[in-house]
Amino acid sequence: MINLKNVNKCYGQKIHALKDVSLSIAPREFVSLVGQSGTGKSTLVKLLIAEESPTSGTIVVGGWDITRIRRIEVPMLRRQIGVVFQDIKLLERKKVGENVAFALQVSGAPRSRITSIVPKVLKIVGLEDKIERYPRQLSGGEQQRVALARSLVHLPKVLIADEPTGHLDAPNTREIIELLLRINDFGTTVLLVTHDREVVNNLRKRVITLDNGMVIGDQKVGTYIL
Amino acid sequence: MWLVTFFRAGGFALQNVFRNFSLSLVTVLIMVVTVFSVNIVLVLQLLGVTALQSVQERIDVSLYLKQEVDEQAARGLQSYMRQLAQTESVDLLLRDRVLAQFQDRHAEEPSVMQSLKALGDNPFGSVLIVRATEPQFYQLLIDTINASPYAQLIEKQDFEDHRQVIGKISNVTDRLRHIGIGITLLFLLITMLIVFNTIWIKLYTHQEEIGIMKLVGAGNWFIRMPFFIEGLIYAVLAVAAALGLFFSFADTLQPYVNDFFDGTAINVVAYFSERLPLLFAVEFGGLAVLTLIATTVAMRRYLKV
Repeated sequence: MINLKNVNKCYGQKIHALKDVSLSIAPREFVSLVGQSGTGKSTLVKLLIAEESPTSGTIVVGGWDITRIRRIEVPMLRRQIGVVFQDIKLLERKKVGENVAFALQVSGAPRSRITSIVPKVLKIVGLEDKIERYPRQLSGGEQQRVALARSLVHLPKVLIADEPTGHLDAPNTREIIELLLRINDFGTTVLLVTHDREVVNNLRKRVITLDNGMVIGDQKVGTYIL
Repeated sequence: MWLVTFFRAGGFALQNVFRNFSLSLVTVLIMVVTVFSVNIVLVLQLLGVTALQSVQERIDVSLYLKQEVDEQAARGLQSYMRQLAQTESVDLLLRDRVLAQFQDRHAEEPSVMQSLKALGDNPFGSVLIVRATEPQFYQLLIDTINASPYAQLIEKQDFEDHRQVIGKISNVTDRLRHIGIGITLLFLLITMLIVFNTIWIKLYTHQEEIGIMKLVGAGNWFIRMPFFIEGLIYAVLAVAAALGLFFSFADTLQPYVNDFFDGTAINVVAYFSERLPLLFAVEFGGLAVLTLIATTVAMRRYLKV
């Protein structure tokens, strides 16, 4: 599903964010990408969603070589990859349902599809009864679940969760991880980017470890080794 | 799909207009001033042309023949002039008639009548009053006569006086028009800067929303389109408001125009009402192009999609 081959990313002459990264993630896999702050995890996410281009190397997502993707193709890629971030990125002026529907509206989806999909994805994340609430009326965990619901509306093949539990307490963190596992059970490939040792150790899933821009570990059933 | 996208982008554009309403209002007001100033230039142009036509319609050229030119020679010149394609009419006042008219005009002025008597004989020559088919043909007619053998019959002609009046009106009209165009260009420039600034501020305040749009797979055009549509909404509102204001102004102006032109002048409101669809289309088109340029420049500079 995701293949990186000898990927390098440099910012100017001095900063080498990713060094010769090669990895492969199979469809339906659940992978944790771990590493301390500044090791290149977020850079890798930016490359996967084509926010930036690699300096060298090849990136293939779902059979699509996005190494030199054209600007016009980026929206199509992003409809195939769901993304959630630590800072959640919900629109405060829109209700829960509107936030989720927004992803479909801006992609030109017809109204019938929107009214059909939005309640379904909100049900998956357990927020079907909070469709009329505003984000400020929800807890941090619930807000992150709304973001997850929004990332699912295009039925993505891949879900990238970049530090989704970064500022959540333990119960909310558990909820989000359980939700990611459920989404993975539906057949979506999940890439969880985190530096939360406890989360990674409890998952008992594949772990790829990045350090100083390089892959230093890839365990089939791994733990947080740093 | 395209229609859905367009209407949805239109919805976002309307949200943009109302979200920062005071900024939108200022932008529209500046546009209204611009369109209004364009309309004022058009009125000045119309009144200038009307004034010129009014003067030109009253113009004729009088050819004063020498005292010794007899009736036969005068009629010969009249026939020659009638044959020219540029002449509308040629009236001949024989010298006896000229004298009679002079006496009628100055009957109440004894000193003038005494002077005339002292001269003894009729001091006037015959007069040919020439009207051209178009005002611009007068010079050609004068040149034609001067080049003909009949030139020696003519004592003087009064075309120069008329030419100076026409020239003066033309100069004033041209100057007013140039000033109007200058003011309009200035407002156009200000409008462009204001629209640029408005879109820039809107882009800044919508940063988060645009970021999310990109994240969830909105097409580049879908992100841009609401800002273009927003500019077009401003243009429609501004042209509609400016024309409303302009017609009220024209209605107020009309009595003064009537007084100035002796009641025979053009009806400004009727003139522009007849041309309202064209006026709206041209002014909206111009403003739309202006806002699209300003929006494109602002987006190129501040929006990375």
